[in-house]
Amino acid sequence: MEIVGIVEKYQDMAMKWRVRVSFDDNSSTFLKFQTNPTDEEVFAEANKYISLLVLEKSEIESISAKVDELSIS
Amino acid sequence: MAIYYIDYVNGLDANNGSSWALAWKTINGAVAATIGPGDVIRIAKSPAPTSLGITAQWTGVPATLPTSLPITSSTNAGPINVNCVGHGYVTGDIIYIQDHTVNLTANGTWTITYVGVDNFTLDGSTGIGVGGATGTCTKIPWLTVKLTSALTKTITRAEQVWTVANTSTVTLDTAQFKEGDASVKIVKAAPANSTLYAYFQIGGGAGVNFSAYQTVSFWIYNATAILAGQWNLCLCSDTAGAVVVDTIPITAIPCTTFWTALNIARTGGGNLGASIQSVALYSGATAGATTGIYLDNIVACTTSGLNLQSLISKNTLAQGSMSATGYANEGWYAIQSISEDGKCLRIDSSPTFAIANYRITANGAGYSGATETVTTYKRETIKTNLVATQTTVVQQIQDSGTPGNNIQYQGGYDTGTTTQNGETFYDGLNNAGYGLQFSSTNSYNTINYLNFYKYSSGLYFYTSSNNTVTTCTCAMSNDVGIYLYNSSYNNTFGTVVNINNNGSYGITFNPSTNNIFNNVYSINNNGRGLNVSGVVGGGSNSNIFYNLGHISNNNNYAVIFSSGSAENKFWGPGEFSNNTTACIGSNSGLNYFNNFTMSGTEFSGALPFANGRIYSTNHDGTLGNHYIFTDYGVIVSDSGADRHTASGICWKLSPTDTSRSINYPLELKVATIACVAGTLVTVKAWIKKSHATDIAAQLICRGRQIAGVDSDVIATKASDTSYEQLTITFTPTVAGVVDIIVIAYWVANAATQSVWVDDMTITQV
Repeated sequence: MEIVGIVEKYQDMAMKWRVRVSFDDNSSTFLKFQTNPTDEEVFAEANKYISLLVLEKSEIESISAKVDELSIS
Repeated sequence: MAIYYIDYVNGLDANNGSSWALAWKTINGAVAATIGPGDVIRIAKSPAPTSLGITAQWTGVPATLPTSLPITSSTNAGPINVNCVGHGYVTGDIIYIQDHTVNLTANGTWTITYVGVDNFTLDGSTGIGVGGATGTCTKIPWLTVKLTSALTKTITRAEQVWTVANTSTVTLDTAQFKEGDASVKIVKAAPANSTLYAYFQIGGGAGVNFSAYQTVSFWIYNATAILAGQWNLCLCSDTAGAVVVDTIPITAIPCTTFWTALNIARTGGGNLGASIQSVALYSGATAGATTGIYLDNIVACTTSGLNLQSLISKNTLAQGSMSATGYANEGWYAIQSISEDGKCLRIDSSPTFAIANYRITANGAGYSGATETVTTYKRETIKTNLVATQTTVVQQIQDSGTPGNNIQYQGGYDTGTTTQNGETFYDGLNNAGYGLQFSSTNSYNTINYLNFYKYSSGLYFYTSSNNTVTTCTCAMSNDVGIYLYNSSYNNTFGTVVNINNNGSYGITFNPSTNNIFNNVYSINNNGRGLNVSGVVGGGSNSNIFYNLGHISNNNNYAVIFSSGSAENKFWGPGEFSNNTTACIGSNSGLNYFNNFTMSGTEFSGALPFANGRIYSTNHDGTLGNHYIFTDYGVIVSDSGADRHTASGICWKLSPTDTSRSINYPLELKVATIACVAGTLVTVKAWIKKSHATDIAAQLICRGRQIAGVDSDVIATKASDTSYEQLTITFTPTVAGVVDIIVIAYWVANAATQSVWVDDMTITQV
């Protein structure tokens, strides 16, 4: 999963900065910042998001494996 | 109503509990045969806080945790000079060194003195060899409390192996330790009575004066149960452990494989020796075999002073966990270790954390609060009997009250004046067992001013309902602070604060429903803050939190929902910050937050195609700022330039994945209409898209919600990016209620587009 680019950037009602980043799997996400982020800061946060997705996927696979194991036993 | 008394220090469970003189020892003594609904059980308080008489530097968890730096070398000198290229430290910084070889005494927690851009010295250290390029150093101020002067004196930190005596086996163990990077392990299969089995020279050839101290505090981990009289720790005047000056009898430890902090006076009382040259382990008068006694962080302490069993805090209050501003007063923290120079107190963490990794690069440990140097206090606890397993019940409620007549267990009583002017802090000492269990046969009980430290779980509810807990802290648990297990429901919690530094979760529901928490403040530094989970087929539902304060610095989520847990409601103000994974994790179910401020990643962990949702109204403490987090999409109230008019709420629907296609659209209920039979209903809404063809939007009344509307009534937004007023009409044949929805779904290219809905009108004619 790779970053494609920044789609939109704005301040919400709480004056937090919201940046929508797109990825090469055609998905996107909104990232939150306290202050107006630079592109570099956005990409750094987007990479953290990707890492989180990878971690969650591995946790889900691990839980699925345990469920399969319990089902078999 | 009858009144009974519990005094852990002076009571006996065989007493009848009718007075302080005849008090029970434990809550277990208040048996059902004696007590009944409406009775009050007064519980003796633990000692009030006392000032350490000095200030200490407390440091809150930084927003970005420091990374570990490789050590290049260290000197065999006093103090040790560490070479660490570009360390960036300044004099006074607190660091932790681990995995450094040869110069083993460099491992541990230190205050440093800046020498150069690549070098610093470790205050109070003495080298034992030239260390090479091994190990790391990490700045860890939030994991420590730094005293302005030492209140204890280190005997040995057990970073070097002790000398074998009389065919014992002695090793340095780097897998089990509480301080530095190792503990010393002594094994003896068939010890003779009163015999030396290991010793370690201290003082470098000169006697060390411990005469200002009266007790020895140390960590012990035992692979074999220890009976009283089996082992003694001794301070000796010679270098080989032969001439015993001070005998410290190791107390009975029936449990095995748990670290336990002890603080023991020398046999005969009085001051420790004035010229000590070695510390030794002797068998006692009734020797017993051991497959492993591990010793660590051995320090000399004063009778009433700081020791490894003390709790420390900025808090001065004998009673009361709430401040005038409504937030929790400072919590109390257990001590994991005392540094070589006696000035750096490491804040204890769950053993789950401590052994494998001191978690120096992750949240879930340390102190959360204001960074400042202030007078610091200690508080001694009531030490309950050591138990052998994680699931052993230490104390248990014995009876049930009735509705309106709860049995009340009131902590914090002064046994002299019979006034409730303090609190009762129970201490499990070894992170095992349930501090207080409410079992399936016991409901309608009330507890207050009772606090539980260093158990497996502090409070454990096992299918117990209709209980009330007020003014309570559960901290430093190996597993969970407050555990609601197996359908514990209708319990009420008020002023539950400082649920900190628990290994797995601050509070967990597994599964338990319809419990109410009011004034829950500071759930910090845990594995996870709140865990709202369940079992396959049953989540934890309809729990309500009012005034949920800070949930910060947890090593995963602040709040996580799983197993379909739903309809849980959280009413702020509240704040989630600096939690490693995200503020909220949710795989399914609909859960609600109002008036919460969230920093960092707000939402994660959604189960694909479950359409679980987190509704966060007045998000980030801002009126009218509403967010709906779900899988593959987010819906927000938009006040920007894209709205149709500046009145009411404009909703922005943003699918974030191509999975939100026509088969799984991102849906928002925009109206619920009470329909009159036989009357035409007209619904209009202004809708806009950010892209003409990559995204689609529809205004819909689903069919079969009400008689007369048998199929979907749909208006579709045109393929352009202008605002368009969509209209749907229908005529129910009966009176009833229908929902109106707007859907947005991905059509082509990347899922980076949005749909806005604004200015609805509904008429019935």
